[in-house]
Amino acid sequence: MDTQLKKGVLDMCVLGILKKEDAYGYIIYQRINGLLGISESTIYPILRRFVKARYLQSYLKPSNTGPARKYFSITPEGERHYKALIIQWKKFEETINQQVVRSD
Amino acid sequence: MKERFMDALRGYLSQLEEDEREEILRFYEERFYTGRVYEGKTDEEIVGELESPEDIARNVLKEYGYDFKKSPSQKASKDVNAGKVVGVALFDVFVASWLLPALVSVLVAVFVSLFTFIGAMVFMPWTSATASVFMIIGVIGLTVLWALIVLWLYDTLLSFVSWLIKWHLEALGFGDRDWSKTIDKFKVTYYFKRHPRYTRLKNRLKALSVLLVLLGFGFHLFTYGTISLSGADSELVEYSENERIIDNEGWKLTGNVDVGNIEFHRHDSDEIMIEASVIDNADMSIDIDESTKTVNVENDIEFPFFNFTGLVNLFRNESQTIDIFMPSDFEFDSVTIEHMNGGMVLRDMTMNSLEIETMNGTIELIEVDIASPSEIETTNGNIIVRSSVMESVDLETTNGRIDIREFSVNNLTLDTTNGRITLDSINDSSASDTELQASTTNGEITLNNVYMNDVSLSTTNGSIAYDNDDKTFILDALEVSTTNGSEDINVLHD
Repeated sequence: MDTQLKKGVLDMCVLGILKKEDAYGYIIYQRINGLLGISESTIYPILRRFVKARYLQSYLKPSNTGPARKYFSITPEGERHYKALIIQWKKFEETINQQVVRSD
Repeated sequence: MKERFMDALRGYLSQLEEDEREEILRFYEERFYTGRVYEGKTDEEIVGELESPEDIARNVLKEYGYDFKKSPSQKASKDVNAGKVVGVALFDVFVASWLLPALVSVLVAVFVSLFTFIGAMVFMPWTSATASVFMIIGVIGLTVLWALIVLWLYDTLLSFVSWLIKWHLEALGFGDRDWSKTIDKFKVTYYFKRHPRYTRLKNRLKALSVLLVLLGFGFHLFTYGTISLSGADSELVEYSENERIIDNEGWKLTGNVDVGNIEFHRHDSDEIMIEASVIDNADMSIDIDESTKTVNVENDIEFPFFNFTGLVNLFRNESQTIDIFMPSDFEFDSVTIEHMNGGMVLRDMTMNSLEIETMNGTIELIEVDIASPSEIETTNGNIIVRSSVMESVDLETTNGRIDIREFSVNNLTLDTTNGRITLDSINDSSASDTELQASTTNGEITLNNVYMNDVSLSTTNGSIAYDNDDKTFILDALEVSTTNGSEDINVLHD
C-alpha cells in the first residue's frame, strides 16, 4: 500500500483502535502495523500530537512485572474528531468509487 | 547496545523541545522493556527489529515539522571551531554593534517619514495656493509605494536578524534548531503567503501606485512643461485689519491657522496691523480687540475631497502670508499659535510666554526674549534660534534640524528624530545651574562654546562634538552617547 495513502488514514486508525480499548504505545503500533504495515517511529509523534490536541489522555498504569506503562485513552473530543474523520472517509470512499473505480 | 541506540536517537532529536524529545525516548525505553520482559528478546534483537536511530529521527522530526539535519548536534557542539567563534565575536563587536541599530533606525526613519507623507497628503494639497491635480495623483502613488518599501525593509531586517541568529548558534555549537522559521512568522511576506487574496490586492496596489506616479507626474509635466512645483496660478485674497493701541500692557495673541507663513514685524505707527494674503477658500478671520486686549488670527481650510478646483499645489506655500505689524514700543504678553502648514518668523519681541506648534514649516526666533517656560514644536521643518534670551524652553521637531546661535538660557531641551543639532555661543562661562538635554536619532550634534552646567547629548546615528574656547569652564555633569558615530569632546567635567 502506498505510504501517502497510509498517512492519510493513520490518524483515523489510531483513534479507532483506542476507541475500542485503552492501550500503550507499543501495542498501538503493533495493531496499526498489522493493518497498514507502518513504521514504528511515525506512531509515537502522532500520540503526542493527539494528547496536545486533547483527543487523547494518557495515564500511568502499574504493571505487576515491571515499571508502570503509559496508557492512552480517547476523550469525548477525540471521539468527535474520529466521527468527523469517519464521515469524511466514507464520503471520500464513495466519491472515489463512483467517479474513479467504477467508471474505470 | 541499548544505551548506544538511545544516545544516538537523543542526539538526532536534539532539535526538539526537551519534553517532546523525552517523550519519544520514553516510548523506546518502554519498547525495550516490553521486548525483554514479555517477549524474552535480547537488546540486540530488539535493536535489530527497530529502525535505525537516524530513520526514527527523520520520521519523528517530519511529524513535528522540523527539517532533519544529518549531523546530530551533540557532534556539532564538540566541533566548535575557534576560528568561527573569533569571527562571530569580531563581527559582533565591529559590525553588528552599529549595523543593527543603524538598520533599525533607518526603518524607524523611513516609517516616520511615511507618516510625514500621509500628513502632507492629508493637509498640504488642500491648503496651498496653486493646484495641480496631476501632481497630487503622483504624490498619492508615491505614498503607497513608500508604504510598500517600508514593508519590504522590515522583512529584510528580519531576514538579516534570522541569519545572524542562525550563524551564531552554528558557530557556537548550540543545537541546530532552525530559528528562521519562528522569525519568518513575523514577516509581512509570511502573512501574505497565507492570505493569497491580500497578496493579489497588494500586487494590484503596487501596480496601481506605479501607474499613478507615472501618470500623475507625466501629465503634470505634459501640462505645465516642467515639474517646477509651481502648478497653475491660484486666487489669493488679501485681508487687512488694524487697530490703534492705547494701552500697551497685557496683550495676548492667539492663532489657529491652517495656511500662511506668519511673520512678526515692527512699524512706525501706534497701530497693530495684520495683513494676510491666503487662498480664497481659507475662511480667514482677523480680530483685534482693544477692550479684551486680544488679537486672534484664524483660518480654516475645508478639505475639498471632491472638489478638484480646490485641490492645490503641494509644494508652493511661500506665496501665502500672514504679516503682523506691531508698534515699536509694543509687546505681546503671550503668544500661542497652532499652525498646520507654514513657517513662522518671530523677530525682536519680548514676551512672558510663547507656545507654538506647526506641522509643516520652519520656526525662526530672532532676538526673542521670553520669561516663562516655552514650548516650540514642528513636525516637518527646522527650528532656528538667534540672539535670544529664554528662561526655559523645549524645542522639538521630527524631521528637521535645530540650529541655535547666541542664546542665553537656563533650561534647554532639544529633540529631533531626523536632523542634526547645532549649538553655538550659548550662555557665557559664568553660567551656573543650567541644564541642556539634546537628543536626535539620525543626525550629528555639534556644540561650540556652550556654557551649560549639566549637559546630556545623545544620538543613534551621528557624531557628537563639543568644544569650548574657555577651557577653565568645568561642567558639573556631562553625558554623551552615540551608537554609530565618533565622540569628540574637548570640555572638562566633574
